[in-house]
Amino acid sequence: MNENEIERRLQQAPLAKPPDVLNQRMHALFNEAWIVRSNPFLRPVPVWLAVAACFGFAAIGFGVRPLVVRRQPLPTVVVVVPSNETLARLLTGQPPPRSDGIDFSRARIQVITQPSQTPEKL
Amino acid sequence: MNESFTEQMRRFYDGHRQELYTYSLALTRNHEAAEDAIHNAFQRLLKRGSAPDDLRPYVFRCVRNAAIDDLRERLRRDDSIFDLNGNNGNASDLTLYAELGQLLAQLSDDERETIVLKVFDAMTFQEIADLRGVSINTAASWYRRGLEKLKSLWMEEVK
Repeated sequence: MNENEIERRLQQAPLAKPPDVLNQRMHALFNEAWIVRSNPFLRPVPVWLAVAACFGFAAIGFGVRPLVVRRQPLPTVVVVVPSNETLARLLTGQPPPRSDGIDFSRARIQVITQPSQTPEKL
Repeated sequence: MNESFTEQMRRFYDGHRQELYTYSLALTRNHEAAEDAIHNAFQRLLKRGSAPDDLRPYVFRCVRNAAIDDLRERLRRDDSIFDLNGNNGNASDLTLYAELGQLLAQLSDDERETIVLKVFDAMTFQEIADLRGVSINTAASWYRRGLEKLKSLWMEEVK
């Protein structure tokens, strides 16, 4: 038997057929895939899409946050210094007298906090 | 990427199940492993949801990869690709096919795989080369060497 004869014999040989159980398994697989693909809630989501959605919603969240969360106004600190001549000169741009400095010993500090008008978080 | 892809896969399987099974069985030499390889390959394909237009070499490559993955787990690998229990042919033919099956099993994996793809799945050397990622000369050489080995093994059997 030469190579051609072997080739011919091989071509004539009856091949083992795919068993019925394989066909059943495959059709079950195709049916399952069809159900999954036809239902949008069961479809697998690509990782890139999930990550992009996370970033997107985070960006939207930061954008919307100022609208729903009122910022607490910062307290305003006011230093009240009793008027005196040196200070008046300084504020009006006139040269102050050499000897006198500004006397802060009688200054008082006043912290003004605005009450929030609405609840902090809606 | 919708149900039409699933239908495309189903049609491909229905049209090529015999070729795929013979190929998978030639690689695994185990009926259960051959079934699993085909099932797993299509499962992965369906999960991926897309495939190139030229499906045939792609699906065969997927089955090959699945079969190779499966080979590591199986110990028994002596099933023939031929139907030796059917009613095809007479007793002497069945004996001949059983012997041919045993001779095929003695070839290297590359030689056996190439012969199966060429003879039973009617692939060209170019298609086999693309599937295996080798040159066309290598594929042709595996085929020629495989047939030569079959011939010499057959001569030894006859002696």
